[in-house]
Amino acid sequence: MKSDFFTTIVQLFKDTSTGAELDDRQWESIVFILRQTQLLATLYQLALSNNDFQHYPQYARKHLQAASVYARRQAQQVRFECLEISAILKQSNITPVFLKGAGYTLSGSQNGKGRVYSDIDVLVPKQQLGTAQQLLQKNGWFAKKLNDYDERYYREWAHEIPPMSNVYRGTVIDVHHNIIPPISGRAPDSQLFFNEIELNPQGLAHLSPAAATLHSCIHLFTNEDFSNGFRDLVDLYLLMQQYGQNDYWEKLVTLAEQTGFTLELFYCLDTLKQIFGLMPDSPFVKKIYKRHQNSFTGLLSHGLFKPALSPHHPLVFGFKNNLASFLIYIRGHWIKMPVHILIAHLSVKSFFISRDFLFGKYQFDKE
Amino acid sequence: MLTLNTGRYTYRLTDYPDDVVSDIEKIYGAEVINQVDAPVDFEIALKFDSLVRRFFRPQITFYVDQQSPFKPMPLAQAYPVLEWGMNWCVAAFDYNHFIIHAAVLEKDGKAIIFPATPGSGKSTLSAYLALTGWNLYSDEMAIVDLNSSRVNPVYRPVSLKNNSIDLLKQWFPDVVCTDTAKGTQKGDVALFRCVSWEQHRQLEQAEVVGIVFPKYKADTDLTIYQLDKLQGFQQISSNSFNYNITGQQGFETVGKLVDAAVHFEVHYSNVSEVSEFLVEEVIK
Repeated sequence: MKSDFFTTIVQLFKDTSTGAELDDRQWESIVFILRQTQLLATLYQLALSNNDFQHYPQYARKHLQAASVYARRQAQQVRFECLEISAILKQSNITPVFLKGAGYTLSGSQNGKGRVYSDIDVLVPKQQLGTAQQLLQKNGWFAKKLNDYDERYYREWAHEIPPMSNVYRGTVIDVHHNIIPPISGRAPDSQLFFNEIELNPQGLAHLSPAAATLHSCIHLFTNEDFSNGFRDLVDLYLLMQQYGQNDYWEKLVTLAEQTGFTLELFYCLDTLKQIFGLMPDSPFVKKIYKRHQNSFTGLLSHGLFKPALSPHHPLVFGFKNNLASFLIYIRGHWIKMPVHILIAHLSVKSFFISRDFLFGKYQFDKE
Repeated sequence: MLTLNTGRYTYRLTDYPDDVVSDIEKIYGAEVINQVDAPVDFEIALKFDSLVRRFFRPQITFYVDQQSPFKPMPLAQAYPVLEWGMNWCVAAFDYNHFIIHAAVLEKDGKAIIFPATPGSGKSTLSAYLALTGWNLYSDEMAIVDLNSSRVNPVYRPVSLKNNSIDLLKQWFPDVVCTDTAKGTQKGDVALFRCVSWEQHRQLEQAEVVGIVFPKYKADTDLTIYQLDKLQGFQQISSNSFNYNITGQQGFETVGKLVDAAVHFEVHYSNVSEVSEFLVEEVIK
């Protein structure tokens, strides 16, 4: 039963016309699951562009439409903020590259339509990070107060500075100097990504489709937290569906080789194959399979990534999924942190989790 | 498990303390409980979150599906928390409508919006009007159609606070209400049933003819101020839950609302005088 709705939802994103055949009872569960995973508006946009939306039952249309209004406003706000941020950083000739959600919206890709975000991610060259931070601060963007532990986490181990939020509008930006924490020992030369910049009609920089795909793939498959995993997987699926021509695959695979993330790309392709049945007919993809496909990696994508990437909603997320996502949590930290730091980090985090379970989440908040 | 039909929105309660059920039955009536099957709009729950707080000064948390928008509250406030949570669902997810924090009352197919400025006595006034021949469309939020700017009825109780609880009981000794939950975030709170499902079912989308800002002032005579459209626009947009989200559509909706309505600020101490004024000058 638990996997049933997962299959139905995957099918919906593969072929939006199947939504017309679903009854209200099925739609209720789908609306709840997609509301939780923040994919209602993504489905709305996809179904609309395929001319299937008008055939959906009234209940489904009502909820998809409502979510799309919220997403539309976010897209508007993101475009505005990106222009602001770009203008601010231009003062020191810094060109911020908008990543992930904001990048998708700016590039106009299908997965950006209806996408909702909690923050705006930008990449700036490491040597300009300090200048960028100062310029943003001068213009009303301030870092939130962190506890000492988190402060140290950012300062010593991270690939980004603590999130900054705008004092007037509350918008949050994450300024990165790399795509993965340097503590992992795997941070690639960021220049490889700066070489892959495209400009949108307003002159705002985002990654090329292949680079955006690889970034999304690296982000997901080195992550320890899969709670937005299904949404990220849908991003990857839609990007590959939209741009999957031969030169795209070539660039994607080449970039994965240059940055040293071919294994992550393999997991990504193999998981998409297992969940969405995506099988790109490209010699470059075959090369990746040839290099990394074996019984161990197959077991990992089938036994670990697939169950952990199901939407994190109790209707589709059961014991097996929870176990998988726990193992992912360990793995994500494992590959990013040296062992002694990892053990210390997990002990601190698990102390907070058990404390909150026992006494309630807000018992120790500073008023 | 229990489902609740509030007319425009349907809910399924999956977890709740037992005591809450009698309040729900009292306020909504059997006609709307467990009458809808799937699909419902929102799955909600009141849950004990922490192990310790189940037994020691028990606290409950409101959930809509997996999300908990408020901090935990004392168990004794469970029912008001549920009502706030139900409002939250509408404000957080229904962007198909323009939603204003306001009471709405209707007579002869003409509706008046009373925006909820603090200390206005809005709920006291709306309970009084609802129990003296007006139709209650909502005590908490005006659900306005984004295309037609007409207002929709919802089947929900009136939430009264502090002194007005006893006042209402004095005026209407037979009125049905819950026990008073003491010391909530909004003071003492009790929910009043001011419309029956039978009455509610007769109600239809209505034209908004007036926007009235009530201000309760003890021992004053009724004083009426006519407001201009600009003031009306400013008040409606700033009292809206989703003016910023609905964007241009929201802007146009406020414009249409404000254009078609008359605008007053009313200082009062006697609710029946307000009622007379509304009938004579606003509904006409």
